Amino acid sequence: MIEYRSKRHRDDSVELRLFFPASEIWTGEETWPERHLDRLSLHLHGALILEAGFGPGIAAEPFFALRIDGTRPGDRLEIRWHTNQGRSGVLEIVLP
Amino acid sequence: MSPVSPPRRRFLRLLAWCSGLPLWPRLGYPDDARLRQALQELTGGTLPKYHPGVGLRMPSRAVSRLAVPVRVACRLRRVDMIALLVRDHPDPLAARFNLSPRMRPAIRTHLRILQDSEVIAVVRADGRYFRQSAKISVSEGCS
Repeated sequence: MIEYRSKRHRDDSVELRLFFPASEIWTGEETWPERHLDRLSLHLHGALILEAGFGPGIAAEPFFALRIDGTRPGDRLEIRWHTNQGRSGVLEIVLP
Repeated sequence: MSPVSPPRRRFLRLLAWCSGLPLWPRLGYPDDARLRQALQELTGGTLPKYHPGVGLRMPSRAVSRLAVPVRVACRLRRVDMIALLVRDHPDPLAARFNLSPRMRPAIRTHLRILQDSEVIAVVRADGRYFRQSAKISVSEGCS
């Protein structure tokens, strides 16, 4: 599982921090740069709000801190990611 | 009657044009071929201008080469793309974020930088490309 922290700031924006542990990306056999996080997307109520692509220059254990505007407490955010060798995952969180 | 005849004048003017021509299109372009190609693929051929509104904050000396914290924050309007490139890297484009208007143009992430290099942030704001760069040293310490 990826780790996340979310916090609502005073200006009503939500700060979302994502951390992908090595176990989510690597299986242990490959050496850099064979495997890395390739794609990440955020969907708010089904609408795409962020789409990102990565190269081998991203950290082996990727970390992201993002700010989202215009959300309400209780909104559902879906986080999808893929590695360049076919591993993928989905995480749905409820915004604070 | 002028001392320089018109055909000669035309020829001299052409010569002056042609002498400046090879310098013009790549003026200001980074010298590294891979970085230049990555930048061209990213922006579709236009060279991003340096802009103080693109904030790139990162340490000048890395604690760990495997996760160098990088922060991009823009003071520009209508930013819909943020990209991070590392010079001296086999694949310079490290990350590219396409943002919807809901996302604030401020992103923190960690990059893997294995040798002394330069990180370039490219931002698309209102259809135009801007950049900012910072140098980093990773050769000191024991990481």
